[in-house]
Amino acid sequence: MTQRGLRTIALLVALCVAFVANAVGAAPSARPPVVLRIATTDDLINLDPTQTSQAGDRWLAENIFNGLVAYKPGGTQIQPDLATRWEISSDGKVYTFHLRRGVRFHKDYGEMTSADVKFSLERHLDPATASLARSEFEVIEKIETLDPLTVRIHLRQPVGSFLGILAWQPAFIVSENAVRKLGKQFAFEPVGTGPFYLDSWSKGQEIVLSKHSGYYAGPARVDRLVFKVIREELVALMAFGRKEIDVVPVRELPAYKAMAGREASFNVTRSFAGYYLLYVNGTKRPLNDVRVRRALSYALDRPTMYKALAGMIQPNPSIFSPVTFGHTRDIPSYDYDLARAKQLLTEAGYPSGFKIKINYSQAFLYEEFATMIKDQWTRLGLDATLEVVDRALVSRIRREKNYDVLPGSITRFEPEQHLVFFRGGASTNYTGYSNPAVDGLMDRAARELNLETRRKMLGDIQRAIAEDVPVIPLGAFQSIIVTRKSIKGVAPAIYEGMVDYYLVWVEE
Amino acid sequence: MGVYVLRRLVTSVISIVAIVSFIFLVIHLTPGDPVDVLLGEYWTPELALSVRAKLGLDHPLWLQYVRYTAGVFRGDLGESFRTGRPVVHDILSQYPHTIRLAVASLVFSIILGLPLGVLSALRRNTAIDLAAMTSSLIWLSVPSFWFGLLLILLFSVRLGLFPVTGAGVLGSVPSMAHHIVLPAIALGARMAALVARMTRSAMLDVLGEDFVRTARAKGLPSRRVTYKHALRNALIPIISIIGLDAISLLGGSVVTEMVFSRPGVGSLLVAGVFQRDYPVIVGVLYFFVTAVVLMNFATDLMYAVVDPRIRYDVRG
Repeated sequence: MTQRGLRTIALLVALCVAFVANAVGAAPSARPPVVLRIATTDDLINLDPTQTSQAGDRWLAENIFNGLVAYKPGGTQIQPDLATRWEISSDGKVYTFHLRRGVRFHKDYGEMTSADVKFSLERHLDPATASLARSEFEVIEKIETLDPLTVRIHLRQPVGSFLGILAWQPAFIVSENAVRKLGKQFAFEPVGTGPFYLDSWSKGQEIVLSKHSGYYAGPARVDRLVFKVIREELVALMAFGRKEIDVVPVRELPAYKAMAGREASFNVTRSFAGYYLLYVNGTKRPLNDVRVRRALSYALDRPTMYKALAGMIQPNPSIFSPVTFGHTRDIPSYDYDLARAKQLLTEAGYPSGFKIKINYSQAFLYEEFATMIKDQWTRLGLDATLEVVDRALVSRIRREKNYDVLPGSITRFEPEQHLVFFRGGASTNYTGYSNPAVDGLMDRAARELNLETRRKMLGDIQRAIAEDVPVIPLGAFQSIIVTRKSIKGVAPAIYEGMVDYYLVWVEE
Repeated sequence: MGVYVLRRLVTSVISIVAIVSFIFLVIHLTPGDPVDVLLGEYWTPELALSVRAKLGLDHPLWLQYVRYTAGVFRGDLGESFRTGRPVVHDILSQYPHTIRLAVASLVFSIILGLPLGVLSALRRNTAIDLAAMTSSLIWLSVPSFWFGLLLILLFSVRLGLFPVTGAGVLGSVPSMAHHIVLPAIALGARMAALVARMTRSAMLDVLGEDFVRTARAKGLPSRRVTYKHALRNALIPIISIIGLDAISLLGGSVVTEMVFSRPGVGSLLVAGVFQRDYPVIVGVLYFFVTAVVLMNFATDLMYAVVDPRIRYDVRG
C-alpha cells in the first residue's frame, strides 16, 4: 500500500475514534436533562433591570428575576410574588410589603431581605445608574426596612398604577451584594431569585439558563433553557422544522405567513401584547385640524388591512392595550367610511386633498402598514408619499415633530404608562397634543383609589382622546409563540415573545 | 528584504491609523444619535443628559478622538455604548469565528477553483471548458446571501444534511466543521469562480510560452509540464487575485454570518451600526482595516516565495 493510502486510513480511524469518544462523553445518566432550545433574534445586551430594553433580554430576565408582585399570565391583574401580602394606607401613599420567607438568590448570594428590595428600587433614583425607567420610580419618596421581611414604600402622591409598576421588569429585585461585588459585570452575570439562573453565554451564539434548585416555589420542570441567537425568524422556523429548535416567538409577517396551514403540527400560543398606531403631527397644517385627522382615520379600511396581515393584528380603537386596566371599546372607532372622510375634508377646506408624507422605519410591521395606508389615502384624494427613516433616527424626528405621520407600536401595561404620550408638553408627547381637560382627568384618575371610579375616568380619557385623534389607532398585536406539540404549559404573555418557562413542561 | 519589511510595517501602521481616524470622524458625523437609539421611548431630557455624560459624548469631538486614540495605543478600544463591555473583549471572542469562516471559504475556493481553471485551460474550447466558465460566471454574479438561503433550503431543510444555523459546539471539531460547510460554500463560491477564471487565463498565457514548448520538446511527461512548469509560473497573478480578494471574504462574512446566524465580527458590526454603537463600529473596523493591510502585506511577501526572481532588496 502506498504511503498516501496509509495516511488516509489513519485519518479515517482517527475520525471514527473522535466520533466514538464524543458518543461516550454523552453517555446517558439516570435521567436525561430536559432542555428547551428557544430561538431569539437578539443576543444578550444587558440584564441589569435598570437597563434592559431589548425584547430578547426581557425574555431572559423574566425567568431570572422576580418582583415584589407579578402580573397574572395574559393580563395585568396583580398576584403576589416575592411579597406574600401588602397593605395600602387610606391616602394611597404608603405601601407596606410582607416578604416571602426563605427566598434564595442564585449562586450562594444568600437570602433575599428587605434591604435588597430597598436597594433594587432606590437604584433607579440614583442619576449615576442612568436607569431607563427612572421616571416611573420618581414618585417614591423614601423606602424603609421595618425588619428583614417587611418593607415600607412612601410615595409623594398616590398613583393608581403603582402595583403595576412593581409587577414589571424594571422593579425586579436584585441581590445588593451581587450588584456591589460585580459592578458593571452584573449586566452579564445577573443574580436574581427566579426559577432559572444565567449559566453561560457564548456571544453571538447562545445563552444558557439552568434551573435554580433553590427556587422558592420548588425547582422548574425544565432543566435548561438554551436561547439560540437566530437573527432571521424565517431561518428560525426552518431550524424548527429540522428539530434544531423547540420554541420560536414570531413577530414578523413573512414568518407568520410561513406558519399558516401547518398549525396542526405545532402549538401556537397567542395573546395580546400591545398596539400599533399612527402618530399624527398635530403641530403642522392641515393636520392641526381635528376634522382632517378624523377624515384620515375614517379613510382607513382596517378590516382589509387585517386580512392582508393574516390575522396578526386585531381591532383596537383605544390608545390602551387590550390588557390594560380600564381599556374600553365604547369609544369612537372611525369605521371605514370614505364618503364621510371626504365630507370632513371638504368641511376643513381641502376638498381636493393635500400632500402628506408617511415616514416609517423598516421594523416590525411598519412598512406593511405604511404602504397600505398610502394606498387608502390616495383613494381619499391625498397626495401621499412614503419615506423610509433609518431606525436610529426615528426617535429624534418623532421627538422634534419633524414628520407628518409615522407608524409606531406600544407595549405598555398600565394606564399611566400609555397616557404619558398624551400629556400636554411632556417630552414623550410626540404629536403636540394638548387638551387641558384631558390633563386634568389624567391627574385625577392617577390619584383615584376606588377602582370602579378609576375605570370610569379612564374610559372618559380614552373617549376624549379618541374624539381628538392625536394618534390613529391601527389595531392590537399579539404575542405569538410556536412550540412543539410535546411542550405544554406555555401561558399567554402580555409582552411579545415572552414565556414564563417555570410553568412549562415537556410531555414524554 | 529586512529593510523592505520594516518599511512596509511602518507605512502599514500609518495607513491603519489614518483610515480609522477618518472612520471615527465620519461615524460621529453620521445622522442618528446613539443616546436616542439607546433610550428610545424612555427618552427624557434629564436622562439623555446623564447618559450622554456617562458615555463621554458630552465632550467636544476632538477630545473624544484624542482620548480614543490614546486608548487604542494602550490596547483599549473603549466600551460598547449598549452593553458597557470592553470592545476588545468582544472582538477577541468573536474574531476566531470570522477567521475560521474566511479560511474555510478560501480553502474551498482554491480546492474548487484551481483544478477547474487548469482543466479548462488544458481542454480549451471543449464542452468542459464552456461549462466551467459559464458556471463560474453565474457564481461571480450570485449574491452570497441569496445563495446562502438556497443552500439552507436545499441541504438543510430538504435534505437535512447540514444544520440550519449556528457555529456548532465550541471546541468540538466535527461539530464546528459540520456547521461551517454551507457558510463556507456560500461565501467562497464567488471567489472559487474568480480563481477558476484567473487560473484558466494565466495558464493559457503560460502554456503558449517558449519554455513550455521547450519542456515538451525535450520529452517531459505532460503532467510534469503542466504542474511543475506551467502552473507554477501561472501562480503569480492567481496569488495576487486571491490576496486581494480574500479581503472581500471579510466583507462578505458580514452578510454570511447574518444569514447563517453565526457569531463573528460581522454580526458584531451589524448590531453596532443599527444601534449607533460608535466604539463597536470603530473597533470592528480597526480589526477589518488591520486585516486588510496585513493581507496585502502577506500577498507581497508571497510573490517572493513563489517567484525567485522577485526580491525586495533596497538596491534592486
